[in-house]
Amino acid sequence: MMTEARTAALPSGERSPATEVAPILEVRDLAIDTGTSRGPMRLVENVNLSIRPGERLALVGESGSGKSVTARAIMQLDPSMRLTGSVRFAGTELLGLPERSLRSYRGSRLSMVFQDPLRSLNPTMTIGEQVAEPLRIRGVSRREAWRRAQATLDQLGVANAGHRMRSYPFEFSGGMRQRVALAIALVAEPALLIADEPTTALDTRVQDRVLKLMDTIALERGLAVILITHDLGVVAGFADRVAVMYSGRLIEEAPVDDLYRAPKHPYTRGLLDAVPRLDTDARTLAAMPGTPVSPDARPPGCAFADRCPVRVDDCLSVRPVLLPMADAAHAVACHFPIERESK
Amino acid sequence: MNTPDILTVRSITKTFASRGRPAAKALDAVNLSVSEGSIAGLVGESGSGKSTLIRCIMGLERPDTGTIIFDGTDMSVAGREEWRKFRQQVQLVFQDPFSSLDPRMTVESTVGEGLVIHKKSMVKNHRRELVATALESVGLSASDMNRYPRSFSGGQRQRIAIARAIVMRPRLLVCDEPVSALDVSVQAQVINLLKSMQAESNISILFIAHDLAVVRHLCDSVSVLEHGKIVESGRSTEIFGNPQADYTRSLIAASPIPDPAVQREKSRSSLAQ
Amino acid sequence: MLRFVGRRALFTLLSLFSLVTIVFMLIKIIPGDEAKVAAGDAATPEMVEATRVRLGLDQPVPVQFLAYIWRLLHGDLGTSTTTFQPISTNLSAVLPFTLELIALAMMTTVIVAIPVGMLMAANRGGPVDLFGRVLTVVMAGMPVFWVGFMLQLALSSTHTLPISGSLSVQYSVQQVTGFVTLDALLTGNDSAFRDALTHLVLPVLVLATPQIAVIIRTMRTSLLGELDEDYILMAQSKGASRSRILIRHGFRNAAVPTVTMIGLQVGYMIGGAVIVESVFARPGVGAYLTSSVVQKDTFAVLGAVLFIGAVVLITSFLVDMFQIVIDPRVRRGQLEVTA
Ligand SMILES: Nc1ncnc2c1ncn2[C@@H]1O[C@H](COP(=O)(O)OP(=O)(O)OP(=O)(O)O)[C@@H](O)[C@H]1O
Ligand SMILES: Nc1ncnc2c1ncn2[C@@H]1O[C@H](COP(=O)(O)OP(=O)(O)O)[C@@H](O)[C@H]1O
Ligand code: SF4
Ligand SMILES: [Mg+2]
Ligand SMILES: [Mg+2]
Repeated sequence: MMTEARTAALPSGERSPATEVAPILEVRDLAIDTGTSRGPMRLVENVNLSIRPGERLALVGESGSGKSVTARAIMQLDPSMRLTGSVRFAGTELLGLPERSLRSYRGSRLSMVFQDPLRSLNPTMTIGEQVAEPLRIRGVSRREAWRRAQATLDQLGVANAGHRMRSYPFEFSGGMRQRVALAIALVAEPALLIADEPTTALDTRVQDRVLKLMDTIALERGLAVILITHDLGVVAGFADRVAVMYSGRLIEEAPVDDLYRAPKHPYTRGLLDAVPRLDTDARTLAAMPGTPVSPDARPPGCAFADRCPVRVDDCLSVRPVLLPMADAAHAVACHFPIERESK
Repeated sequence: MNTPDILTVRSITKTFASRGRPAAKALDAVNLSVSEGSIAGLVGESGSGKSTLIRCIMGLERPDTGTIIFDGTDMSVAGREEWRKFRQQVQLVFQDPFSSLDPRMTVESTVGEGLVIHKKSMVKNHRRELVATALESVGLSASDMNRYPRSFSGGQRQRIAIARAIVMRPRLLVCDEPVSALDVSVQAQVINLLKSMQAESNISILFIAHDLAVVRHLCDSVSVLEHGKIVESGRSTEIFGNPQADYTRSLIAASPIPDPAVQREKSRSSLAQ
Repeated sequence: MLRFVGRRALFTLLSLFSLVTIVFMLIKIIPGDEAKVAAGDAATPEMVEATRVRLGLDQPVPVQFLAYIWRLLHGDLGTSTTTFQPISTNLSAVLPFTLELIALAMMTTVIVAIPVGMLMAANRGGPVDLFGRVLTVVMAGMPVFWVGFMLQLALSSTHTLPISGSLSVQYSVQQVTGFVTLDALLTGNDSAFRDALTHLVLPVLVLATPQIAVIIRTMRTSLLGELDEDYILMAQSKGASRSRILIRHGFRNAAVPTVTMIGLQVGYMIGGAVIVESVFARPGVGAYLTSSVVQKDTFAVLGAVLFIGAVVLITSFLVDMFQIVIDPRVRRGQLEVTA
């Protein structure tokens, strides 16, 4: 249902999330450096992403691969990170923008949800105050902000919202808290939502409900979503396109169907083979040996080389760049992408 | 099922009284069994009572009513000697591989600790040998013995925790969400390790998890726990193939499948309903 | 809520009762004869015995204790065995000096430490923070009496600030409340007011210095802890300004441990006040308590101890109330327990 219904909501009414619509966010050659006790460290490099209005992009990778760092860089939430490259949002370059102007984007056109729904709400402020805050910051009157906050909570299925706005986060369950976090992110009607593992801390059934809500609202509002997760099941049900990260670099990007049907990067393949599926009885998982290299131990060449089953010696020294395949929608950073296999 | 049960949990009830609130039933007449040499799964959402059940089984918590029977012995009337045997033959692996290992202890002393406690007479060299074998059987190397936990990844730490358990040559391994904190690629390594241990050494495993796919993949039988009650139990293939309880069905329906086509089909049919 | 206050009041009374009991017993254990002190140096043994009977000191200790409690319940703190005045009269003459000192020191602490702690946390790792951290270590390490003596030494030759007493001899203030500064202000005696304040500067500084260091550190650490929480990231991603994040979000949560610490410090501060009063030759509970102990003036000691106990308990009650106001989790917990 998702792909068809969603594209119908797009202005162009075309089948594919309209290539002719300008991207709402365009990240070019983003590199993120930070200072550590052992000197500067490059956490993330060469990240290129672009997302159009109404589109859902999933950013996938194992823990430590740089997903959260990238999300925070787009929002420029961490002043200790040095960012280079370009982050254009709705035509405006965000990198180098003074803090004041950045603030006018954050929470209103561009907003974010975090993984831990308990820790991401202020324990001593009422739910209502917190949901209304993005509007209050922008000078919306108390009454109006409260009214819109209530409407947003209603829309997110928080029963009896008017009453519960006077409660505090600790009086809510995990799933409800995450709805509140979503309401905070959505109350000012942003154009882009970055959701960093929004359902990882939730039970399966609660996760399912929250994802469906995000789906419905994004659809209604034509909202673009970057969903950050390590759960390939969640991605399959939500995203249009998937970008896979490994050790601070993008290693593959493709429309969701292509990526699952025919992954081109040995790492993506390995990941997909390692996930147990509830709908089959296949008994052995193909476990990739080893663990991801940390960003400060990356070899000059391919970061996946030490675990790659098809590596050649040159992979260690020559770095593969993310290049589009002949089928332009699918890009991969590997010297020897997997050929389409006959199954 | 003609293999005997290594562990039987019979009608365990556990209530936590808290001041000001009505007493909460964390476990309500729970029955569960693990047959010798099999992997039994226990699934349930957070707060359903999984960890409480484990604490009752391990004797860390006294159930209000009900009995735990290990290898034919009713543990509620067991004496000192039987408990000693129990502590040696039943080993526990925790969820969080980061906090369950003492950061100041080397891998060798962590893994060998149980041997020091239970087999006092064992000579040091023999102990080293057993530790090395255990490490190798979980895919680590004997040369890792002098390292500290902090220099290992999450998956490797979980292997250390498993090595610590199996070095005692337990007959039953109780695992409380041992892969929940791990990444997919590492999770697969641990799942495969448990599976091969079962095949090679005929160990029995009680495996607690909230991820149904992992349980289906690994377990021979499953019990589903909802708010302290077992709502369904049986052979894995039957439960996942033909779930009876509404609760089980809703859990299955909510579990995402890593396949876009299947997911689309699922949400289409859930809309049709 | 009412039940909570009721419980707390009961708890406070019980604590005061235990305090009085323990102190009473301690005084009785200390060697020395109260009757002898009370009767005076020149008294004959017969006179001492007569005094003993008059004061009820011939009774067994438990009887004396019960008699004291009975009078206490009727609001009678007893009569001093050295000044022969009611303890309440003596105390009300010295209490204002101590209260004034402590209140001003506490205000100084809060006014200085809270913003400085916040400033340091906001500039974590920056020059302000580093300098502040070094300074607090130095400040916290300085013993009260030593700082007092040093300041007196430094200032005795310059005459910029008075180094002892509470008011210069040329002034006199009509008594209204007993608080010299307040009375001077109320009676419109400006110059006396200024003089009284200058007498407070050094004692307050000496008393507040270590407290300021402790509170700065508490404020800084708890605010830093809060700033690392995800809800701060969330506030940032709402577009909140830096000051809004610090004050509306961080400060509100960091205030809970900080106020608890301030409450605890009040106890230490009274201890400090005893020393400061003796160093700066100020009248006050400190001086009163010291002399009463020396003279084994039982009721005077008990009266002073009751006062100190009351201040500490009232502070802790206020701290709890503050937490209930600011932290919904505490509020809920308290109301649930009493519900
Ligand atoms: N010591 C205790 N005192 C009071 N209540 C308790 C105690 N231990 C557990 N509970 C309650 O018992 C229920 C079951 O808790 P338990 O820890 O067994 O859940 P779980 O299934 O292991 O959950 P999770 O998946 O989150 O680990 C919960 O409602 C919990 O709050
Ligand atoms: N502020 C920081 N300073 C130094 N290293 C960091 C910082 N934040 C994250 N990292 C490192 O950057 C890498 C990517 O982290 P992150 O983006 O959080 O991963 P994930 O993909 O799990 O979200 C990790 O190796 C992490 O340790
Ligand atoms: S570049 Fe070489 S090492 Fe890297 S994934 Fe491709 S084949 Fe493997
Ligand atoms: Mg992350
Ligand atoms: Mg648990």
